[in-house]
Amino acid sequence: MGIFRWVHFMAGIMWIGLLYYFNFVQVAALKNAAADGTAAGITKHVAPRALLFFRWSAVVTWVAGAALLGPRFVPAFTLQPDAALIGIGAWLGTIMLFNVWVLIWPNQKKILGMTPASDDEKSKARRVAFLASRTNTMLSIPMLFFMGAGVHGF
Amino acid sequence: MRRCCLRSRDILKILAPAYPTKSVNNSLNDFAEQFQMEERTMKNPLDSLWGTVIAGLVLTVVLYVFANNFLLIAG
Repeated sequence: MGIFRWVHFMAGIMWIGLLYYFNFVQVAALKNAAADGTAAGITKHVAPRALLFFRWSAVVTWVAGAALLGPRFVPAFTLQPDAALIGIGAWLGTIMLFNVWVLIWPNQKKILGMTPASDDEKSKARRVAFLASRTNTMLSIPMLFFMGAGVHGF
Repeated sequence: MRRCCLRSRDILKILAPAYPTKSVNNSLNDFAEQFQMEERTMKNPLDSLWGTVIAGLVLTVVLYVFANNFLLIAG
């Protein structure tokens, strides 16, 4: 169990750390960089690498978390009283993982030119990816609260 | 009258992080007209970083109350 906790924490820090980097740093930096014509440095060299670690650390966090729950996996996800707090955290983390792989990553591929897309599609993809990323930032706040409460109580 | 309207706008700015700033600059003789305009231009709180953080904190409180009253009580 100790190894799963360790991996869960390390991958979780990477995942949420990169999520906060995107939302608190990169979005504002890109706006300024676009104004002085230096955005390509971020979109070509920084964003793809950050997204690689972002999406895979999300998977590792979830898998290690599921392994850490072990026999409490089903009681947690069915919000049974003795595992309800960690269950809420687990559900929020699962929704966030879904957002990463179903909404953020496919749309980021269009924005960064990894898959072909028209300007109109890119514009729509930018909005969807942005809102999914902001939703994850919002969800991370109660998720971290309930992860802590699940182990240590309120 | 003018002082009254300015104060109302300030209160709205504090209460709603995503308060539409465009409408603030319009001439506002009629408060009802202003309110209608705000409804039309209401923004998504997730567009602002502060709106996102506040929404996350509110969601935390809502889930805390929900868990305390409906999930943990059965135990």
